[in-house]
Amino acid sequence: MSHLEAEREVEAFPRAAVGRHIRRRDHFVLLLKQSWLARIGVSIVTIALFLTVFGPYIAPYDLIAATPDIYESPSTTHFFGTDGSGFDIFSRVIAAPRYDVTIALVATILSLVLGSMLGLIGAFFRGWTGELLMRGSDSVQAFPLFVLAIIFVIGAGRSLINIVIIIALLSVPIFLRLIRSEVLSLRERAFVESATANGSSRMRIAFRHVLPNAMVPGFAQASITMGYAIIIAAGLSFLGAGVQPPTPEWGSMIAGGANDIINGRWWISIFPGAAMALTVFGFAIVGEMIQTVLLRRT
Amino acid sequence: MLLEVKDLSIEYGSVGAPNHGVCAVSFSISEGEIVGIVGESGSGKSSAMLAVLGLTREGGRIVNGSVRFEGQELLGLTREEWRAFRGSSIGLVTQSPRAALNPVRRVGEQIAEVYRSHRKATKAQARERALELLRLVGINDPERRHDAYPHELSGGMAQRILIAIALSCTPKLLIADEPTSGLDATVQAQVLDDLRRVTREVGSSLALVTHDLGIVANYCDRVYVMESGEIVEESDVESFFARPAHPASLALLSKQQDSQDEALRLRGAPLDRIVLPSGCFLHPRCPFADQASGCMTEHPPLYDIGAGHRSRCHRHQTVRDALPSRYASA
Amino acid sequence: MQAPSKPILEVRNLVKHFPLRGTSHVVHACEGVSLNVLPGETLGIVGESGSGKTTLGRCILRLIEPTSGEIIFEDVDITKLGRRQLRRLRSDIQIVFQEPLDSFNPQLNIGYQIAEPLLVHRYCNKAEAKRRVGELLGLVGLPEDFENAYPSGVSGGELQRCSIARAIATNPKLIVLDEPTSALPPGTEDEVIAVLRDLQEKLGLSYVFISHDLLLVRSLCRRIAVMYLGQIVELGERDTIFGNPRHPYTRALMASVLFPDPTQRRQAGQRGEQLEGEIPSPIDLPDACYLAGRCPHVRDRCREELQELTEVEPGHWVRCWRSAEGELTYHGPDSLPMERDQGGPS
Repeated sequence: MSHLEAEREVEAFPRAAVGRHIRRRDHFVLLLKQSWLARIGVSIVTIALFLTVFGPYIAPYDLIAATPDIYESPSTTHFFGTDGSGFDIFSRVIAAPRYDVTIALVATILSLVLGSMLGLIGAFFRGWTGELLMRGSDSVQAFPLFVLAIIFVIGAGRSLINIVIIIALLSVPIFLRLIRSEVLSLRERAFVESATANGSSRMRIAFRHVLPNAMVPGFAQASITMGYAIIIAAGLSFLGAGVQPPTPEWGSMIAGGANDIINGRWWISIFPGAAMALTVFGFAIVGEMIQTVLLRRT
Repeated sequence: MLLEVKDLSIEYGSVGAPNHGVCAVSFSISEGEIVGIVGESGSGKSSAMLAVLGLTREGGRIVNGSVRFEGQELLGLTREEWRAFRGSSIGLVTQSPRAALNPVRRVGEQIAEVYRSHRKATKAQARERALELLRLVGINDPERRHDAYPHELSGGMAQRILIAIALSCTPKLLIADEPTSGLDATVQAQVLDDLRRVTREVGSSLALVTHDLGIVANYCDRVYVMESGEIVEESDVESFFARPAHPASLALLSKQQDSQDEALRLRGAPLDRIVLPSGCFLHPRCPFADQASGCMTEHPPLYDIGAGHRSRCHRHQTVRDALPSRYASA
Repeated sequence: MQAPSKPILEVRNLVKHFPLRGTSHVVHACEGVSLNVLPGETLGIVGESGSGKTTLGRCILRLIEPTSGEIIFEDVDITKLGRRQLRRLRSDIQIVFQEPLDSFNPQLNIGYQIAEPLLVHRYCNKAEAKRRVGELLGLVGLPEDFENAYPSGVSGGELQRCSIARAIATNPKLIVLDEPTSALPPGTEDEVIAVLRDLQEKLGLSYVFISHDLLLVRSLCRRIAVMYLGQIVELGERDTIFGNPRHPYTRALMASVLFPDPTQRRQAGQRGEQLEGEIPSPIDLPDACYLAGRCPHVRDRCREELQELTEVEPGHWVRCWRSAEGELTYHGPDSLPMERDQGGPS
């Protein structure tokens, strides 16, 4: 019996060695099983994305129709209460991701694509092109993000497109620097040298070996940038430079209820604020998870 | 006996299914002795030696055993007592000296700091001591090197600084964990020469943790071979190299043989030790493992094979005969 | 009996300087290296870190562009090849790097990466490449299912064997081995060495074996070149280099070998062969013997003139005028650690 076991162990050895590699999908599932934080993060993001698509349809009350039921505190009929126009806050909170998450998502994807392209260019053309890109991103980053965003939106007009564009542009330097430094360090790695020694063409090396590896931290950063983008989008609205009321949107809802807090009507601002904070938190955790799964090198 | 370790066991990871890093290890070091602790990476040799200083790696805990230094039991010391003990009675020299030194402080200050934290000394006295130590470990022009920053030093010199720090309070025992692993051959030999010289000069004992049997043969008096978290062979150096008596020792030696004998190698890499194999822990990898000798069923004791030479192998006789006797005298 | 065969690779006066950014200083990585490699032989290149041995290996494949000099591979000077021709050449010369985990793309499976040179060189189609990958894995002693594994999932020794499999995929004639075992955990080195020996025998490969491990080089190489600060200081047959080293640097190197044998214990400061200090950084080297500052046998002349590599006996070259003129005589058989059976039973 024990002899058989022993034999199996000898035989099983190389297989076990091969099996030590965990596929990314399995690793993600493993993280979900092991960590409650991961479960919370993924749930929040899932719910946020679900509400982005279906929020306005499942909202129990009309989103922008004024009713006489003003300033009602949270109850079983109005879970989160109502505001000064009689809007149901719960309905508006779950409908808001349609704007906030969409703006952030489109802006993040835009800046990831643009930033990676520029980063690759910056790393491969290190003459004046690269220098120009780096100094350009320096000067964007030198300004306070928020002030820049407000100036742009006021100057270019408060359209949804403009809000997306400015948030995207503001995040480009982050991706540019990240991808550029990643590409530069990857170019020194032995597997890139090895591909050169194999006779691979430069295009093949750039797109098969360098870029896919450089994008790994890019994806992780994208999830974190998502959170920031939501904050900027909501922040613009809060200051009146973004999405305008009565459109359901977290920033403008917080702004709308700000004066009511001292009157004891805390629910008008608190619920959209909490929803936004949770969403940002969720994306940050998922970013961390992506980083863990993609960057592992055992 | 200066140091006596008995039945030391260290576990890593979860309490329910721990990884047995070190399993009931016993060894001793007497005064003035240079002892080699060898093994492949993952054999538990560093874990066992660090435990003598009350240190474990992340997630490790000492679950059993006793560590006696000059008759005093060390396991169970409080945090404060350990702090006073480390560095003053036992010194540690780690590998990768550049990582161990603070990059923004002058090396002389770093030596003096350790000295002052254990001894009452003025700054001037500590500086004197630092210069004396720099001279001792073979650094030319100690006045100038005293004020150097770590990045200004070569690898060999940085390693000598670590030795100086470890020696600052004249410890009775020095533990050197792979002290020359990042160094080039000529520098390695010089640093080891100096390490041997200074331990002799200050009269301490030295425990050399290494995977290189060349180092053991050249610098040690006795040797312990570790494998799978256990001590599998112990001997004086002459008897060990004349006729090693454990497959793990042969495997370590085979690297340095001219003839690369396939039949003497261990298969694969060390297994994790969450579920320990029945019988000898090494049998899944061992070329000598044999059903009739009980390798798969009975855990071997440390067999005494004469003159303090002991081997944890049921088949030590066969193993001893596997290599042609290396010297006519043996 | 046999006429010495024509070298497969000839390096002539290879120089590689790296300019230091923002200064007029120059790092002398290779300073006039000349050597040749015969078909089917293993040439060992030993030296400490900073000796330029890795740069030399990279230059042979033109992974680094040499500053000057010729590299002749099968009658073609590869320093003059254009990008296209160079890519074709790369099926004939291959390299195995030190760190196996670093030399594989973590995102792609091992099978793909072993097949890559086959596909790049249109050596065969995809189906054949897949078969060939299995065959190559077999040659390095690994099971076929390794092709589906990812680099992070296999051990260092196994991955290094995969790296060798990739290097031999296109049937190269010469492989540069850049410290192929020094990043591996001890104990797995010999499995890699065994594979290298086996392949050389089966495929008639030539190796340039770069290492700092003298014991390993002794067991694997027929001829050995010793490098110091970008120069070859001594070149000769293995037994000459180990048994009768003539250059002070080689002798210091030999004296520092720690043999696993307590009867040959190294004594401190062994017989005056020890050098002062450590290898300096190879920046702005003087027009003199590079070892002059550290050498125990130094004379005024050493500090005044550059040393030439001189043939002191057939096939044995030394870059030291005192050795060449017979001033540094060899102290006899027991002055340096030798093959251990030399003493004979007594």
